[in-house]
Amino acid sequence: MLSRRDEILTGLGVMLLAAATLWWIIPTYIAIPRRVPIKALSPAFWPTIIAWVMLICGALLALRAAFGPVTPDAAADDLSVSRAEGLRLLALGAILVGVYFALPILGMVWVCMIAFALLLLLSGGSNLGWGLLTAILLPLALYFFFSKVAGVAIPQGQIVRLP
Amino acid sequence: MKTTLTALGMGAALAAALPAAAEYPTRAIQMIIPFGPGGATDLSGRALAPPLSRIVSQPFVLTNRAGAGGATGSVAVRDADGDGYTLLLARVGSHTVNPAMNPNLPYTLEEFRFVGIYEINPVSCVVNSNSEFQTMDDLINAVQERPGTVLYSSSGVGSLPHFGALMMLDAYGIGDLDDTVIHIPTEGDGQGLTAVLQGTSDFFCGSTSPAAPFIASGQMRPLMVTSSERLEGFDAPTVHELGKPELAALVGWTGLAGPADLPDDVVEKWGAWLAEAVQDEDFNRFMTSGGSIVELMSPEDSVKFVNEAYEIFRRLVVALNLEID
Amino acid sequence: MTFLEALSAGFTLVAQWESIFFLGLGVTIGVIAGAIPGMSATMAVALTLPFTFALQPIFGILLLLGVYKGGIFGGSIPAILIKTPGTPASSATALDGYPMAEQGRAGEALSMSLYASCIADLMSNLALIVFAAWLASFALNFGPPEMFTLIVFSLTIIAGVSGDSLIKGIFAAGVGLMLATIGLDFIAGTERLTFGSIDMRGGLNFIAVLIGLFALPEIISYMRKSQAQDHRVRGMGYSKLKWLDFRRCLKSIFRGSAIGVFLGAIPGIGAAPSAFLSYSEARRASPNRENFGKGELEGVAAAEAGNNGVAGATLIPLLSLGIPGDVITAIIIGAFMVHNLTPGPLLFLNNADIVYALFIGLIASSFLLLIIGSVAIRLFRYIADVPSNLLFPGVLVLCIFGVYAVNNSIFDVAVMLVMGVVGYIMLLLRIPAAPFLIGFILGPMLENNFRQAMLMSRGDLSIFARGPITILFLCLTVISVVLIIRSTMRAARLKREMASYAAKSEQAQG
Repeated sequence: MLSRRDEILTGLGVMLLAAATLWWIIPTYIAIPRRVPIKALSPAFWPTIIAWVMLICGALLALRAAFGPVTPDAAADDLSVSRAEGLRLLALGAILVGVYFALPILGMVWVCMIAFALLLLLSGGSNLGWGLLTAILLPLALYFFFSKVAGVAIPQGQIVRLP
Repeated sequence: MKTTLTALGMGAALAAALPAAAEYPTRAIQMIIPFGPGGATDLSGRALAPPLSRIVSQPFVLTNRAGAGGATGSVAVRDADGDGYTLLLARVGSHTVNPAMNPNLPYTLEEFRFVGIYEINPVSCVVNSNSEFQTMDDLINAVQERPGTVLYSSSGVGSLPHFGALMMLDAYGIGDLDDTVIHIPTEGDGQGLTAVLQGTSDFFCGSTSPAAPFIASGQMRPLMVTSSERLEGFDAPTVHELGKPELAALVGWTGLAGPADLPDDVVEKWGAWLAEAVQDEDFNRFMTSGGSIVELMSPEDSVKFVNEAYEIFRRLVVALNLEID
Repeated sequence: MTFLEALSAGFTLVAQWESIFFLGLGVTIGVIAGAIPGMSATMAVALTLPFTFALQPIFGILLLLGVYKGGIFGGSIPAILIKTPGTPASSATALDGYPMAEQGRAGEALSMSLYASCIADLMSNLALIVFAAWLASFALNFGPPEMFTLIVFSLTIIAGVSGDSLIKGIFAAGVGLMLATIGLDFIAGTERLTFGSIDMRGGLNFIAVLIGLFALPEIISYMRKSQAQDHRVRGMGYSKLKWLDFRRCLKSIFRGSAIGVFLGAIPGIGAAPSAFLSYSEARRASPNRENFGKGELEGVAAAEAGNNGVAGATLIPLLSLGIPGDVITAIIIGAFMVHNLTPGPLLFLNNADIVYALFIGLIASSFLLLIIGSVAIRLFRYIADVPSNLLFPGVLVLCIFGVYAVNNSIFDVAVMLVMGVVGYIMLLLRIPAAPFLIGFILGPMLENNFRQAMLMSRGDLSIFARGPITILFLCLTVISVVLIIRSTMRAARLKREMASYAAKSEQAQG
């Protein structure tokens, strides 16, 4: 359970999302063919229904939180993020974005080695020796399994190619 | 068979004349299958790979990149380097029907260079064996007399069975195809045929291979085949016997293609490899057991074949206003 | 050939050591492949297919069936140990399996999963042998309207996996349903919510969404708090399954097997809805209802039984009608065809020996699965001993390789990463992930069957009441909804009373 304030905000957020889907995303990004013989067959039919259901859910969430029984603050989950946690989350986000963009350039094996090592450092760095060994061996083992046994063309990147 | 032999001879001659090109391939060759595992294209490619790897020293990596009726995988190959290490298993749906019907397709036929078509599947129109339709004429009469009541299934919008049914009906002079017949798209040949079997749809005009088991067991009845001669196991008149020779263009096929800038020596090599690979006994047994005809076309013939089919389909799409928009 | 002759001929075929060898090899390959996220049973079967061309028909088919069976069980191993389900079906196993692993009961969960799998598999095979003809004719009655009503009924599962807020569960299912509409439109072929991207035309990849939603939020949570949790070693894959616990779950296992057989016989539904339906039925019937989702043994048993109960039953439409029920059986058809065996009614007439050999082989496969599975569990549970700060980065690397391998697409890796962030936000806001997944799996089936039915009837809604099957499912849906509303109201009233009681006692103290 979240605190009353957080529950209300969640409900309003859900409503906002549903409204944006209903009145902006669906009309703009769903192409309607020139001929729709039956209304239920239109490509926008289901998405519209789903968006309405979401809108109602958001409203119910907000209303229930505003007028329903209060969760004692002690029992509610705390959503606040401490400074250290925020920094770690940011670093993790940067690593994940970096992984995606580096994949085609460096190749999957090298990117995964680096990502493993960075995550290891981020999480505090105990078991460092074993960790670095795993960082090198795990991507290599996965590479050989997927490319040699399963016949998957693992992206090799433009710099160092493995056999 | 004659084409095969010619291609074999030609391939052998070329291979002998070009010892300098012996460097390709120096690493694994990736063959992209633009459809999911288990589909006709996937099985065809996986059957072709073992005989090919007996000829070529480098391994072949078969890769499924399914999605959007073959468009996702096709685009991946179009955008790949034209070095001969990334090839596409092109199929009638992704490289004839879809380009003809869908103006919004993210690729065109000119963006690919064919190295050879090796498999042809005639098309057959099939109905449930307890259907009232005994012949094509029964079916056509029903469509004319009761417009809007006859249903046909397909393996999806812009697939061969979708277009095949429309082309067949047009050949029989049925107009206003949006209203006279009802199209029920499904996900794949298997589901399209299941719809016929359980009575959801009245007929299905697609490749013979997925329909063959149902015909053999007597669950379905073929009404026509688009091959030039009667097919073994398909007790149905050909389009020539029915007086609709223009429907002979309606055939499925599988072939290999690379990006447009594929070099000549790679194309020639592949011509020779394919010529040898299609002789393989296991491969032939697998293909013919599924009702396909193994017929290798040279790279030039393949391009001509695909373009001709595309032109015929495209003219029809424009004339009948069948474009997906 | 009489029945007995065919049976003994079939027995002779299986009684060769090669048969058992290839079946065992298949199960081993399947368990290993299933245990690696991204290497699904489908992929393993497709990869094995070319090797069967050179084998004798019965050996080739047994090899493929072994891979199939092994793969389905194998998927539960990473689902339990690292919350990374390799297939949608095993995500139901992760709901209770992973919490159990976190509590140090990984060994128990894995053993339960194996026993439930083997029992359900055996039941499914027996159903195939005994009821094939009857179930096949039943399956043939399932046209689009019947499928639609069945899927609508299945959506009521959402209530069973929503945790403490039904509204949030429905919202999550809505998001799943919405994301499932991305791609080319099924009827018109036009683009829907693709935002101009070629990669999105094919829709979002199942496995990428699944792994992103389940595995990544765990990694993000861990990384956020890591220093606080002094790298605890969970180290406890050794807990043993007790006989009493096993016996308590038997009812759910049999119920799950029956659900699996029933849904497996209908072509095109697959194992995931079955696993979830079995799970939610077990929860509804269980006295430990509150514990589901928090590490309940019975939840693991029910999910795995529902998942494996499908395996034998998908062969019903394949063998008796020639219809592939899912992608895997479509590949197995290829193996039949190459040996000049035509799946369908004729197979029983022309190749009865093969059919009975297959049946006997299937029964044997359940027992082989039990043996090979227990060895696999013993090997894999060492994963539970890996320190967290090595485990989570390792899981991330495994997910990247696995998700890429499914469709060879870097875009899928991006989908996984984005879904991971979405999943983490949902975790924070207490929005349950399981309804999202159910929406995402059932969404295309729901919409496509509705639209096919509308095409058939030209827009007449009465097609959804066209026969006893549709009416049955509509009634079941209404009953479920009424029950869900009633129990939700009761729970809400209870909570209100407790809140006012708490407030009162606070006042009294103050």
